[in-house]
Amino acid sequence: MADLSPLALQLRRFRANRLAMVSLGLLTCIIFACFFGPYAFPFSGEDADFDYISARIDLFSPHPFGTDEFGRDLLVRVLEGGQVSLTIGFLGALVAGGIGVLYGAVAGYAGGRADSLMMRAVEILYGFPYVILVILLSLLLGGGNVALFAAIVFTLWLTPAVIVRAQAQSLAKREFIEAARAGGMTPRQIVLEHIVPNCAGVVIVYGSLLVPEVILAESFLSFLGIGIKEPQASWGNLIQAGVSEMETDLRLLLLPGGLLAATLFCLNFIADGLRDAFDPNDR
Amino acid sequence: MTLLQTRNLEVGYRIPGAGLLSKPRILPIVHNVNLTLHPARTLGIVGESGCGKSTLGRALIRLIAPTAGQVLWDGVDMAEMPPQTLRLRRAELQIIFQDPVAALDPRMTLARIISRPLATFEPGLTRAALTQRAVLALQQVGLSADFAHRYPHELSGGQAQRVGIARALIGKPRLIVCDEPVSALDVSIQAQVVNLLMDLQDSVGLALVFISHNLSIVRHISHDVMVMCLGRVVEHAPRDAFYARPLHPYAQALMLAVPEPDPTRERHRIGQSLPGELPSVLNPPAGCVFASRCPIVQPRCHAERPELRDFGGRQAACHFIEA
Amino acid sequence: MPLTPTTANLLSVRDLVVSFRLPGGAMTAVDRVTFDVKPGEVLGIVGESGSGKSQILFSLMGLLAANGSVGGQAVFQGQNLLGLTPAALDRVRGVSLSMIFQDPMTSLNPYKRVGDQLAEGLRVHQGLSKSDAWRSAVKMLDRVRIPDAANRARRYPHEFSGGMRQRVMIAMSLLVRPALLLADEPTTALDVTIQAQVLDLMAELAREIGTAIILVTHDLGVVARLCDRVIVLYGGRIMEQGSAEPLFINPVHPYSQGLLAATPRLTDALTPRLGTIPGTPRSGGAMLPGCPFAPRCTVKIAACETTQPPLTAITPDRHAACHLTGAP
Repeated sequence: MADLSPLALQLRRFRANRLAMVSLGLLTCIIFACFFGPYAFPFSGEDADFDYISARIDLFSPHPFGTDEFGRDLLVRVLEGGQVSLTIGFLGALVAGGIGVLYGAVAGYAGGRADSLMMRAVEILYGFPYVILVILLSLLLGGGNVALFAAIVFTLWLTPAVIVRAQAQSLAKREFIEAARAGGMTPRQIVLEHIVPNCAGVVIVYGSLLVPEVILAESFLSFLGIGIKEPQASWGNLIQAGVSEMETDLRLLLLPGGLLAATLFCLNFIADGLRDAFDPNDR
Repeated sequence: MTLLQTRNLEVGYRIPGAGLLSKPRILPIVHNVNLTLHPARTLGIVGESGCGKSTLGRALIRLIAPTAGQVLWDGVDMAEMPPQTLRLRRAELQIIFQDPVAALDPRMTLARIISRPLATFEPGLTRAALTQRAVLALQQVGLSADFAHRYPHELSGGQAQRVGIARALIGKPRLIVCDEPVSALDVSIQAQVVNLLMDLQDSVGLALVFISHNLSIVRHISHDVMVMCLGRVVEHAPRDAFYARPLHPYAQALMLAVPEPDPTRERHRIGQSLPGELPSVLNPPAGCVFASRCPIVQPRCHAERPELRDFGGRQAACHFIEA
Repeated sequence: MPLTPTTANLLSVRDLVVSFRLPGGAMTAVDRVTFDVKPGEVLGIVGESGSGKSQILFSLMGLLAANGSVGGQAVFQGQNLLGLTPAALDRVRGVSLSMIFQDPMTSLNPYKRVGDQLAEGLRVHQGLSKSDAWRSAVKMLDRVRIPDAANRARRYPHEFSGGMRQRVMIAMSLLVRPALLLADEPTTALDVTIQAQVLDLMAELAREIGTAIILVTHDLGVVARLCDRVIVLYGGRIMEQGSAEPLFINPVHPYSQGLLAATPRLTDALTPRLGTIPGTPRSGGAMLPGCPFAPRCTVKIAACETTQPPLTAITPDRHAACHLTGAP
């Protein structure tokens, strides 16, 4: 074994997982399409084209997948919606994960009364009904996308915190942490240099499930009408629009819905692969 | 010249109180230990599980704070040291652990693991200088320089323990507490590590506290021996005197119980084991800690705990020892 | 003392091979091991990690991991254990062949009372009634010196200490009066004084019931206390075997000599440093063409690295696998 770090070994195990790699590839394509696809068209998703109202799928027309009842190109709208959903998803997971990791690592390493207090706070927050909390926060922070983002992150950092706290607790008892204290390291140094990096496996596994959770949360809220508002597109509000036209024009539902489903499938398979690769039992 | 001295040292663990706001109580593990350590000398601490030897070892280098009594390093009470001074002093007071692989951060290279303490003890060294010092430490423990960029999962138990020793050596320590350092290793590797520690003691003048349940290894490496039972010292004697003739009944029972690789001698030992088990640490007896199993127990032993008495250069805690 | 040795062997192991399919290739843990066990005798298999000693026991009990395979024969009471169907093996295991393991914490079912676990074996294998089985179980607990056995039998394993749990394991395995008991490092996890108790108990019960024992350990002292004969194992092959006392007094194989020199003593004269064996014990990989100990041997010759030394008889009672010892 030629000096591969544990991380390198785990990534290699991940790369050997076909399903996960295919999903990764597909997801990359979706991301690429969402962020660069719209440039292939001379119009944006908000431009109304009065020549083509509610046009059908016609691959040779300027609007290959048709338009909605306002004449907006469906494909571009769906791709632009994807930009919003994916950005909120990945950024939200990163921020929620980051907050959760630090909170959990500190609580788990500190132990004792500090840990009790910190985890009681988490348990209290868990008790709040999720949707109401989001609505309240959105109103409190004045509506808008940033408030929505903050509200989602605020509810989703709890689970990473709990998971990392458990991992940190078990790490705190390991001899290499004692050795670090014997080496004169301060608690802050120990948490940042030893605890957090050794939680990486746990964080990556559960963090990868956080991304679909955030995307789904945003989609759900937008679907309910309290998330991303028109005219800006997100997969959630596109699906909502599609549902109301379901009887007459399935296409308005299927395109955003299908892309959302595909993205979620890919993320879940990737998360599965990461879980297998980073399995702590393999130490 | 005394390196380290303890006075009436007591160490315990905090047990959280029943409610969220109630006070924690203290469960005492180690009671009333008085010892002194000198350069280039090894104190062997023996006892079975629950005797508190590991807790004592950690208290000696202040990884755990004592609940009563004092630990003096170079004559200074460690409790009085300001945090920054204590942090720097740690270079001189090091420890190696029972599970050698678990004592290394699995995500760091050996060079980083070994040299990390230098960032605290000698700040300002460049990355290259740190690696250089790590390589020197590796060579000091008999490992080649190319171990520097390996990871803990690539090491055998014996190699991992050497790395632990290298890390302990990096700050030029004067004392190393060895907490069951060879119990998890194969016999042939145990011998290598024990010899290494003895070589280091000779070359660098290291003082060692060697904690183990293995009486035979302790005999080989120690100058003085301390026997612990349920948190108390029951015997404390120079090595040769101790092994020639242990005074305390518990020490005698331990000697008899250790199997030796000598079938002729062992045949006579079958059937001589001491019955019963020691009481739990959570429920210590009022009198002598060994009363429940002692072959020469008397009523007085259950009522009155014996103090350590002097017997000409050695001590034992028993009411009924003939000098 | 063991029963008068008869000519019939209780267990005859011939050319036992155990190997594992690993991602990096096949790994041979046990390489053509051959030995006999007589009724009532205590055989010690001593070796360090990677020697394959535990795998020998697992293969006899049919407890190998899923990626393991065995070769060779192990004839026990007229049957080849290695060739039995699972159903046939079940009729032997727990009846005339028992095993106790190293970790007393995990060997007992935490959800069942101790008395029930003991009684279960009797009900299943000997068809005793519930009350008869319970009575026998309590008697056995008493026999292994669990204080207050009748009440203790109603408790759960977590309420017992490590030493007591190991005694319960011994009670469970000897309750059915097996002809052969396999013991895998039974006292390694126990305190010194408790270890002495458990060893004494095993010796006493084995003598009383006439059970033969194969004791696997890394501790030479334990072997010296309990065993009549010894096998010294390294890298999956037998290095030396023979009666315990003569072997300890006069080991002929360099590995046995090294092991004994590396073991610290309580009473003999002290040497400035312990004797050592250079290098580290074998850990996985393919078998070497020559002697498995060659990489660490201080007295090896050229032949040691190219040809495997066969296990030859030095005296009728002693066999060694070394080019340097030479057959008579």
